[in-house]
Amino acid sequence: MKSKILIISILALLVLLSLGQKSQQDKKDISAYIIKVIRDVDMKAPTTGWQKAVPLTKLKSGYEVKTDKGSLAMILFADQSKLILREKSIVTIKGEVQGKEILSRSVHMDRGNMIFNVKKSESEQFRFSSPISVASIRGTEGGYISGGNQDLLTISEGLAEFTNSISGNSSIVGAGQTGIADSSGKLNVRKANKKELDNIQSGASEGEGQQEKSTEKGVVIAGTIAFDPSPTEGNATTIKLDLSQTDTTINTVKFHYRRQGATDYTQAEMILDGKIATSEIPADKVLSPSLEYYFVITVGNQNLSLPSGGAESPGSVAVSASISSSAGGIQISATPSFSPSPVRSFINLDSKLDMSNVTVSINSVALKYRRSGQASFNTLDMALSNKVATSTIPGIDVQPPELEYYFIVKIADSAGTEILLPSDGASSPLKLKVPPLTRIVPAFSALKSKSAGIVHVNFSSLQANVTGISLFHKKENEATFTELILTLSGQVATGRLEGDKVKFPKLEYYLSIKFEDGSTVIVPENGETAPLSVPVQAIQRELRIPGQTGSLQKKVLVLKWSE
Amino acid sequence: MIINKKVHSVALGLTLLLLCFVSMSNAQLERIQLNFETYEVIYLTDFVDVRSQKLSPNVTGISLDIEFKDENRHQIYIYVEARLALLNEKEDYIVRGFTNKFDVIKKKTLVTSHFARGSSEIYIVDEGYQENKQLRKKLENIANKNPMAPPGTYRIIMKVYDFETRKPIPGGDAEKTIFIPFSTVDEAFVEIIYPKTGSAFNNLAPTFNWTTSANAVRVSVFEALTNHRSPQDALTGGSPSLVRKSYEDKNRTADFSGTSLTYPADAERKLEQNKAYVLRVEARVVTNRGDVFRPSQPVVFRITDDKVGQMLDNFLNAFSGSAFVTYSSLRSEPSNWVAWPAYGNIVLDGRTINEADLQTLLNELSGRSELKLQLGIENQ
Repeated sequence: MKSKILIISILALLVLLSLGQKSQQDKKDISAYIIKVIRDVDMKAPTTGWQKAVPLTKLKSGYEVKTDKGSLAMILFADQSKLILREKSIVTIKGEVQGKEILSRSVHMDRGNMIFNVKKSESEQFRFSSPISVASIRGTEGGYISGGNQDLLTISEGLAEFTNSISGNSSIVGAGQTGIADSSGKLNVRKANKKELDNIQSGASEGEGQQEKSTEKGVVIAGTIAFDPSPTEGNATTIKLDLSQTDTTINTVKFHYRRQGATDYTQAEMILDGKIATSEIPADKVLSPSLEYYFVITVGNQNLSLPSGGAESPGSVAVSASISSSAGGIQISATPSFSPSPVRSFINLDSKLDMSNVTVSINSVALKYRRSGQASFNTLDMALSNKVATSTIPGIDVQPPELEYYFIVKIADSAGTEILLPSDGASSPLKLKVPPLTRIVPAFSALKSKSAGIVHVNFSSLQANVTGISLFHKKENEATFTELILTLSGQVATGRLEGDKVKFPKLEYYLSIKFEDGSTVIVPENGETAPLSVPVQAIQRELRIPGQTGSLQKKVLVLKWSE
Repeated sequence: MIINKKVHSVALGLTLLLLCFVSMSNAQLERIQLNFETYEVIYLTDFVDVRSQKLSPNVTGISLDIEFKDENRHQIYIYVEARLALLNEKEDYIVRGFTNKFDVIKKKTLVTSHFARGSSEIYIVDEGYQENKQLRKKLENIANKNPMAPPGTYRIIMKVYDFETRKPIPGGDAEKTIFIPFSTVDEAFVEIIYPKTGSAFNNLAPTFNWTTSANAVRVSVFEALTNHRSPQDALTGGSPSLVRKSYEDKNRTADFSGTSLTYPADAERKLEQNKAYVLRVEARVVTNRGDVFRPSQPVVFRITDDKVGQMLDNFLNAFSGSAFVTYSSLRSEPSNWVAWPAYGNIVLDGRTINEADLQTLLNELSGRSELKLQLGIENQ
């Protein structure tokens, strides 16, 4: 750590020495230096294309810097003002200096997240801007996040003037406050929460060279959850959280779980192996009908919940219990289980009926199942091996909200006895919750108002034959959706959004997926009434109408609006 | 002292002016005619030589023609009386008297030079000369403030007497009445009542109205070109599209009378759509130095159906707040802004659009409840 700090200090010193050699009198473009680069940081001069940025890259007025996923850039100005550009950010630097005096200085951020520490100057303000807001900073430390239809300015030291560019409303944001400017023109100032202040604090720490903390913020934590074996009451199971999709360093993962309906959660420290966390749930804690759970993942000094709702909105996995039934004087007891666990919609579902405690010989086992609302049950003849019957329900039938099922066990006796599990069979089948399909999420190109955009839908995670996907979309506040039929190619569907359908501040949408059996699934399931949305970058429109006054003066009427 | 002398000279000059026509004969007159051009403003200093306090020999436009029927020598003298009724006052004489005896054979024209300094042929004799001292004093006081003939009705009476019989010659009376309405040319004014500056007409024959204190006016219309930055530029920068006079001029009869004029079909140039014009009405004042014109304030009017302006009116009237206020003040007096294609195209996001596109755009924007509109005005 000390060596990193030393390197940064030397780099900063070199930068300052270099800046000190500038002319004292000439009016010139402002310059700054990228003094720290983590992973993929690119820069672009006004007349050139993007190229990799390296430490001590010199930036002039008009240069752009962008950070990729998991990346960070630190920019230092001559007056020691510092910007830390977090991942997935893009900024343009502009300004002029005369000698040592900074005449103007601004950073425009199309999107992203940056931490700033601006040194106090008597003569000039540092301006940050986005398509939605402008912040005028002087002698201030804080953070600025621009995220499509909402900007946040949090101040930890000093104060700033914060303006919503769309409405022109302004307000002062003081230390410990967060200003929020949104695309409707609103501007609010409230007390900053801990998360926002910690964001700035951690950013400042990154500025001191603690690389291992650099990717803790702004990162989407994504993981795959699996219980193995599928939870059955009274049997221990192992929970596995695979965070390989998360491009950051995980410090710790804690697993919190409880039986459905219980008040308190049990906490377990998970064993981390790389980015795979595991923990065993003791047999006595695996209780039907289901377990509710969530994870707390520590990244740097931040704790993130998965699912994001944490204790208030936990995940759920069914816990199978042993069922008994009898017929013809024969009683059997068996435990069904399903994998994957938790169940995933439109994924082939392996079913297992463990009858190892049954003493009589079993001739065959059939699984009868149906989707919710179906009149009749489908029949799956299960493979039988050592009194364990197995079969696979095809993904097309694993549809929300639940599956109803029961088993028919044929005893190998002369009477050909059939025992239903549970005993009421079709009239009172067992139920297995199937979560809504949410994992199919379209990927949009950067949408800009009035400009055409591209949408891709990767449906490779569906184990069901897809025959068509439509994106139903509309502008915000528009009454009806427009259907865009996507073109299927392999496991990806693609479509082009026409410019007249793309409008600031967001595009609302849902997917309609058609399967070969004729069924259609809406994603999200209530998408028609509560669609998802993707931000659309505003464009400033301008209408100019030249005209003449009664005294022959030429006056041009200029109308401007954002859309 | 100098002023007093000047004032005295001016008053004396006026008196001389009115006494300067004398004639005499004992036979029948064929013709007697007093010529005195009608002026509305008279510069007295042009009539009087201040130094000599005599009528200036250079005064033109004043003469007396005497013509006898026979070819004989006639000895005549002339009775001259000058009367004046100042505004709102009674008429009274200023001076009256007789000239000396002089000869006329057939005819003679007396001009002011006959009474100029050094002339001894014809003059006013002391005998019978009367001067209204009270009125003369009043005139001196007025002239002290303004060296013009004061407004009022002037009457000059002349009678030709036969020297031998001491009786008027029959037919030897001449009289001339002049009304002077202004004490200076500045008192003449014209104010255009309609159109108001910045008005827009959608017809090619608008009617102009004005009010004036003058007896006659000259109406001019000039086209305002795109390089004209003020109405004055238009008045001085091109030839008029129309000039019409309410008085005779150079053997041309008056074009119109009254205080209104509809743009005539036979104008020098017809009015055209989407063009701006400047209207000027000038009060004509006839002075002894020539015609003086007192112009009205120029008024700009435009020939346009103002479709774009109406679209914007309909669109922006639905808005409240600063955009509406700014637009309203731009459209109303004194600005009277209209969209003006001659100054450039309507441009949306850098792209030229036509009126139909604009209407479509405004219709679309009208339906947006969340629209935050900023309206600015750029001077160019």
